[in-house]
Amino acid sequence: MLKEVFDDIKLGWSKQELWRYASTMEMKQRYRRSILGPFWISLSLAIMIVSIGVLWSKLWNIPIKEYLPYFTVGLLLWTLISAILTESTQAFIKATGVMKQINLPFSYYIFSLVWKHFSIFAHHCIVYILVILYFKVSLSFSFFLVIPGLFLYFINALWLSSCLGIICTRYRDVEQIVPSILIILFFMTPIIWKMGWTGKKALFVYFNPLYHYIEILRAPLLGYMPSLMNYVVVLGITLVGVCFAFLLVGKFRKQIAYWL
Amino acid sequence: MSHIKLKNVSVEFPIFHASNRSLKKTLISASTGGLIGTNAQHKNVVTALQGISFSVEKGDRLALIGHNGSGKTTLLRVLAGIYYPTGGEIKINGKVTPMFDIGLGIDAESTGYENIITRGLYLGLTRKEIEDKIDSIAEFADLGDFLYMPVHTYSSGMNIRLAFAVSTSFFPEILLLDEWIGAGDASFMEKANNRVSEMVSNTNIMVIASHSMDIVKKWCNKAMWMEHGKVISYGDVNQVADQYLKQAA
Repeated sequence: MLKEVFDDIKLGWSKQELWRYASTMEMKQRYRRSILGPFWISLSLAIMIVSIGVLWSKLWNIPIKEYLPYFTVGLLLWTLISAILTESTQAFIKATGVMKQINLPFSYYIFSLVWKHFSIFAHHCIVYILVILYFKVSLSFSFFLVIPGLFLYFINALWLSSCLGIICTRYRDVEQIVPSILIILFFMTPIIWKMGWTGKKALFVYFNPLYHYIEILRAPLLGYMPSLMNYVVVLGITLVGVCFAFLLVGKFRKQIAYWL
Repeated sequence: MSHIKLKNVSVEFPIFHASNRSLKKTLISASTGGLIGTNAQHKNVVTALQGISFSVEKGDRLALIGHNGSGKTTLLRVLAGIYYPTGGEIKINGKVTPMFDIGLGIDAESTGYENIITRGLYLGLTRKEIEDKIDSIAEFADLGDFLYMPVHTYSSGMNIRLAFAVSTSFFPEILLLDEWIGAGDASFMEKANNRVSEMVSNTNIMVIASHSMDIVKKWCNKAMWMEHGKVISYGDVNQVADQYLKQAA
């Protein structure tokens, strides 16, 4: 069974040309008739970051120079995570048309979904670059930790979308819970607020896995080091998650077409 | 050598209704020992294929005939690897190209050029192979300068010609068709027919589901008559087709 999953992943990976081209086409559609081109989709994010960023720094009475870069990076990462999770619930339901016409490996659909959101994220990074330049945030060698960070994000996106995709195709009511959970998580995770603002340490944050996920990329992007605990938690969850996904995909991969 | 072998293949579809589509109800029924929401545990199935066995070798052209709902399309999807059989064994040697909907992957907002690439990739060609063929495809589809225009500016005839030209631009090893591929306006018809004929003659194996006995008799050497997911008869095309026609009359 596990060998079949490996073969599926290999085959899905070999369909790169297709999923990369298809996601480029899908992105192009969003901005096909706009002057700004690919960065049109990043503009709304930029507007949100600036307006909420200014408002919150005034409300909390924190210098904007300190708050805005922090909020920008947090929100960028959050956008990536939540977009992948939200769309995963539709991964196979939306692809029904294709799935009933040709046989592409299971992993093809996952790769194409994750790839698309990473490409959108890459475009959004223009906002990050502008903010960093404007506020002259000093980066350090820790910036290189972005590479393992992104790799971990990619792996986690793959296993999470696989699981969510399968579960939501079988149980159609799960799809409706996901956005509500995401909203709660957004406020529970230090993205618009920061650890230590209230004076006391908000210990519950450490039990929120998303905090660690955000931190392993936010830290290097803002010029400081993620903590060892961040990595331990993320690696632990990744390991368990990947194993779980392998079992789930191995067991149900062949039944998805019957559930559509 | 390409071949297809099916042994006692059966396909059963689970039928879900509102309550076993729901995780909540499934969980409740599990924790209450089935007292509440017994429906969630109760699974209905529809048997779409039952005990299908046959084998075709290189050079064979197999026709699937039978009334609507007899399981022809389901069987094609099993051969395409879309449905894994719930029972029995299936062995296929060779690269299978299903061509059920030749418009699959065509997007109205993208240009003809982009669509040729997308459609070609869906058909399992590489980017390079498509780039090599793109001129001949565009020429055959008679698109002219429209190649670089979005497809929504096309007439319906051009639309079909585009999808048709890409789909028939290469020779699949094992070709699966749900009804014969036809295309567009009268002037294009003959050109199109020649091209499909060329493609079909060059594939190792073709399996086609069709209601037209003319096409079946013209193109196939074997036929399988199906009814309610079972094989009624299998063998030489003329024999099976006549038997089917006699029964239908």
